[in-house]
Amino acid sequence: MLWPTPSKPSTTSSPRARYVTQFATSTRPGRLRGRGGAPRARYERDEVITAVLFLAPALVVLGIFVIYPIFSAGFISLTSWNGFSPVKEFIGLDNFVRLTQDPAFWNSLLVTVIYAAGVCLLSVASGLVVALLLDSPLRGRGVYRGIYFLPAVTSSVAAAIVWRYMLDPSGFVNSVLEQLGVAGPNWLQDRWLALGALTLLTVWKNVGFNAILYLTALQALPDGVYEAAQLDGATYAQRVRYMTIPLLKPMTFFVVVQGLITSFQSFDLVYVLTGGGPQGGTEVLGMFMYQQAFRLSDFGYGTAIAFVTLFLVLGVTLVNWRASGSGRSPLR
Amino acid sequence: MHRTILRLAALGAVATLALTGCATNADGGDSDSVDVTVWHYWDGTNADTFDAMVDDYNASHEGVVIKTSNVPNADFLTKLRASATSNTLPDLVIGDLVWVPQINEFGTLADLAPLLPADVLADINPALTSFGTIDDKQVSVPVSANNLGYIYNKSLFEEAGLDPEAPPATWEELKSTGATILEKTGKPAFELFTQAGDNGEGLTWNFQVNLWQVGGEFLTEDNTAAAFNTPEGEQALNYWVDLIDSGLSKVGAWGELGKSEVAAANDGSWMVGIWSGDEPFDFGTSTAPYPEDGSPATNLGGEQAMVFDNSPEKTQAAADFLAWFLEPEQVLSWSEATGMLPVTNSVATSDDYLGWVDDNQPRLRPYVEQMAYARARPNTPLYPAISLAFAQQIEKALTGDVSVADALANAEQAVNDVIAKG
Amino acid sequence: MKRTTAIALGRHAALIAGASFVILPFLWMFTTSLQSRAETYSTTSILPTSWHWENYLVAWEASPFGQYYLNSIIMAAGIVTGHLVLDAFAAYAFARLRFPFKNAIFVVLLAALMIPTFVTIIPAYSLVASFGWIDTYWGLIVPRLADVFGIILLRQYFASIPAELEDAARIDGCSRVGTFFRIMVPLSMPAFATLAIFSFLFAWNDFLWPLLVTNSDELRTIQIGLSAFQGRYGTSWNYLMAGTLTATVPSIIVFMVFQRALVRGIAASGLKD
Repeated sequence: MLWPTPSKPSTTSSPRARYVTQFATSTRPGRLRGRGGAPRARYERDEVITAVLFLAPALVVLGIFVIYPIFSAGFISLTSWNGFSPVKEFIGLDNFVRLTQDPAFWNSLLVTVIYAAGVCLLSVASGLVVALLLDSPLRGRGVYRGIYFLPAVTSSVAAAIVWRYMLDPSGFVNSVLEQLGVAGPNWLQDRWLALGALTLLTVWKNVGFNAILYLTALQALPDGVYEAAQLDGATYAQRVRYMTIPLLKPMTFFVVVQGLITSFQSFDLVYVLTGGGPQGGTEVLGMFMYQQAFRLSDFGYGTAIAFVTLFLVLGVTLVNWRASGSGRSPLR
Repeated sequence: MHRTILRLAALGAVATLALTGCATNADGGDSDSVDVTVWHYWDGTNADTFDAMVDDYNASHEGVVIKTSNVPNADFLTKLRASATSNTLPDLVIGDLVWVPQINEFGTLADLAPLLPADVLADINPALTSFGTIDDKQVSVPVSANNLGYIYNKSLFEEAGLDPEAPPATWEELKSTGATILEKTGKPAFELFTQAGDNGEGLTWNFQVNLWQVGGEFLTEDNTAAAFNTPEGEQALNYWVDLIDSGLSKVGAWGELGKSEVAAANDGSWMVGIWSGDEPFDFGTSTAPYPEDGSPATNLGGEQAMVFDNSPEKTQAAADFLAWFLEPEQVLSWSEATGMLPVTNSVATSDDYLGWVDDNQPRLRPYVEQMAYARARPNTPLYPAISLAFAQQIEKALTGDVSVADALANAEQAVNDVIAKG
Repeated sequence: MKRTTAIALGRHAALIAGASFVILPFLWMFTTSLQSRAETYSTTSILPTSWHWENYLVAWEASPFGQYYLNSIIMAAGIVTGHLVLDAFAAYAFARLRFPFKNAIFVVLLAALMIPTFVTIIPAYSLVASFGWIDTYWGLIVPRLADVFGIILLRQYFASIPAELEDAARIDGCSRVGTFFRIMVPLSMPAFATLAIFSFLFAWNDFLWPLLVTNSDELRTIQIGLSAFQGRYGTSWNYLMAGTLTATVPSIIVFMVFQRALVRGIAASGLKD
C-alpha cells in the first residue's frame, strides 16, 4: 500500500459532521484544486477516455438489451401491431388519442392512482413504524429483521396465491373474524375491498425492504440533537413528529418513488390475486396494458399505455424531487 | 491504467469462453434424421404419458426424432408469439382449442388435409374437424377432447333427502331438486360462472351450453355478427338470473363445488380424472341438464395440434406423427391413461373403450355420450376479445345491475364493436 | 430502569404482533404443503393438520428440479457478478468523472428503470434469438449482466465517499483505475452486499425471461419448474407450496449471510442527507 487505508465511514454520526471534521475542502467529485482560479478545459481527454472505458460494459449491455428495445417499442406504440404478425401498420398517434377516449383506461388510471397512493402512504407508515420499533438495542433484532424480510424473499406469485386463499370467503381471515363474532365480507368480490386487499398485499410484500431502508436512515441521525430536545422536555411523540420525520425526508422520497414504480408496474400480484376484477376494480395499469397487448392482441395499444405509464411515473418522480427539497439535478 | 483494463478484459474473455463451454444447445440427432420439436402445456400424468408415447414413436420410427417441451399454459401464447417474431417457432404445437384461430393468424400453419390419411381425418369428431377448418384449410386436428357435464355432490343430495343416483336431467328438475337442497341443507344447488374476470371465457363457455340447448346461437355462421340477442338468448339468460334470484345460485368466484359449498355445477370431464384419486367429496356425474322444450348440448374443449410449415421434411414428419397419434390404438391408450375423451368416433363408440370406461371410470360415461352432440365454439381469431366483451356485459345482469334485455343488447353492441374493429 | 424495560417489552409486543401478520402466509404455505390434494380444497386451517412430508419428495421428482436448481444458481451467480462488476464501473463514472452527455445518459437510464418490462421483453427476445442464444446460458445471463438500479445505488454510495481520499492517492501517483480498486471498492463493500442481495432476489425469482429463452429441461430454472404445478386443469396446491418453500431456501440463506452488511450498506449510500 502506498498510503494508509482510511477507516470505513462511521455510521453513528451524520455525514455532514464527518466531512466537516475530517476534511475542510469541498467534495466535488474527482477534481483537484485548480491553481489561481485559471479557467479549466470543459473535459479532460484522459478523463473522458476513462469514463468511456468504465461506462462501456454496462452501457453496451443495457444499450443492446434494454435501450434499443425501448426505442423499438416506441415505434411499436405508433402502430396497430397485434404482437405476432410480420406486418406493422403505422398509425401515428392514434393509440394515444384512443387512450384519452377509452373509459377502461381512465378506470385503470383511477384505480392505479388510488392504489399507488395507498401503497406509498402505507409503505412509508409501515416501514417507519417497524424501523422505529427496531431502532433500539432490542434482543433478537436480527431475527426480527429476517422475519420482516421474508415476504420480500418470496416470489410474487406465491405470495398472491397465499393471500387469495386466505381471503377466500371460507378462508382463514373470515374464519378468524367468525371466531370474533364478525361476519367477514367476500373480500375479493367487492371492488373496493379487493383494491384494499391488493394494497395491503403489496405493502406486506415490501415491508421488509422499507423497514430496513428507514432503519439505516435512522441509525445515521445525530444523537446530540435528540438529547437536547429531550432535556428541553420534548416527548417521544414530539421528537418523532418534529425531528425524525423531517430528517428522514430524503429516505421517504426514495421509499415513495419505489412505491410508485411498484404500483404502476404491478402485474404478477394483481393477476394472481384478482385477475383485474371484480368488474375492473383492481385493473391497475400494469394489468390493463398486459391485457391489451397479450389477451386482446393489441400490442401497439398496450405499448402506448406503457409509455404513458412511464411518463407519469417519471413526471411524478421529478415533481416529488422538487418537493423533497433537493432541488438539484439527480446528479448533484 | 490501460494495462489493468486489458487484464480485466482478458479475464472477462476467459470467463465468457468458459461459459460457452457450459452452454448446451439442444441439438441432438444426426444429420440425416429429421428433428421435430413439439410444444405443449401438459403437466403431471398427461405430460408423462405423452413423453412415453413419443419415446415409443421415436424408437419405432427411424429417421425422425421428436422432442417435446412443456410451456406453462398461462404464458403459452406469449412465448409462441415471441417465437413468431424471431423465427424460432416449434414444428408442432399442441394448444387449447380456443387458441387455434389466433395461432392461425401467424400465417404459417400447414394445411393438414393433404398430409393426413383420409380415413384418419374422417374418423375425427366432425364438430372438432370443422372447428379446425379455417378458410378451407385444415389448420388443426384435435388430440384430446373434453366437455361440460353435470357434476354433483352425492352427500348433499342425500342430506336433502334426494336420491343420489337420480340427478336432474332437465332445467325444471334442476330447479325443483334445487329448491329442496336449498331448503334442507341451506346450500345453493347449482354453481354458475358469474364473473368475467380478466378473459371472460369461464362465463361465456358455460353460458353457451344453455344458449345452444334452447336453440340459440352465439355468433352468425360466418362469425361476422353477434347472434345471441334473440328470444332464445333471453330464455337462457333468464334461466341464469332466475337461479340467482331464487337463491339456487350465488354470484361469486368459481370453485365452490370443490369446497362442498354448492351441490352441483357444470364442470369439465377432466375433473373426473383429477378427483378420482383423492375425492374431496362423493361425486356423481350426469349429462348437462337441458330445458324440456330444448335439446341436449354441451361445449367442447381440449387440445388441438397444429403444424408450423417450417420446412417440408419437418412438416411431413410432424404430420406423420399426428397420423400415428390419431390411430385407434394410440387414441385408446391415450384416452385411458389420461382420462381425456377420445377424439375419434371409432374409439369413442368402441366396445373396448366403453368397456374400459365402465370398469375404470364409470363417471366419465355421461361425458362420452355427450360427444355425439357436443358443439365447438366459433373459430374466429377475435374470439378472446369477443368472449371478454360478452362476459363483461352479461355479468351485470347476474349482479342485478342491468335487466336481461339490456344486458343482451349491450353485449350484442360490444361484440359487434369488437368485430367491427377487427 | 423499569420504564425502559416496559418500553422494551412494548416494542417486543408490537414487533411480534406485526411479525405474526407477516409470517401468517408462510405458515399457510407450510400447512398446505403437507396436505393431501383433497384436503387442499378446504381452506380454513392455518396450522398443519396432516403431515404428508412425502409431498416434498413428490414435488422434487415431478420435474428435474436438481437441474433446475443448478441452472438457477448458475444464472443468479452470473447476473449477480455482472451487476457487481459492470454497475460498479458505470457508477464510478457517474460519481467521479466528467464527460459529455452525462445528464442525458442518466435520464435515459432512469427511463429504462421505469419502463414496464413487457415492453422491452419481446424485442430483446428477438435479438437474443437472432444471436442464436436460445437454450444457452448466454441467453439467460448476458442480457441482464447490468442493471440501472445497481448503477444508481452504487453511484449514490460512491458519491458519499470523500473525493479527497482518491485525490491524495492520485497525487501519490496512483492511476484512476488504481484508486477505483484500492479505495472505492474496499470502502464500498456494504453497498456491494446490498446490491448482491437485490440482484440475487431478482435473478432467483425471475420467470418470464427464462421461460422465453429456454425450451429444454437442461437449461430451465426453478421458477419455470414451479409453474408446471399450475396446469390448465387445476393447480396442485400442496406440491406447489412444497416446491415454492424449497425454492425459497437459497434466497433466505443469501439474505441471512448478507443482511448485516445490508444495514450499513444503505446507510452509507448517502440517502439521508
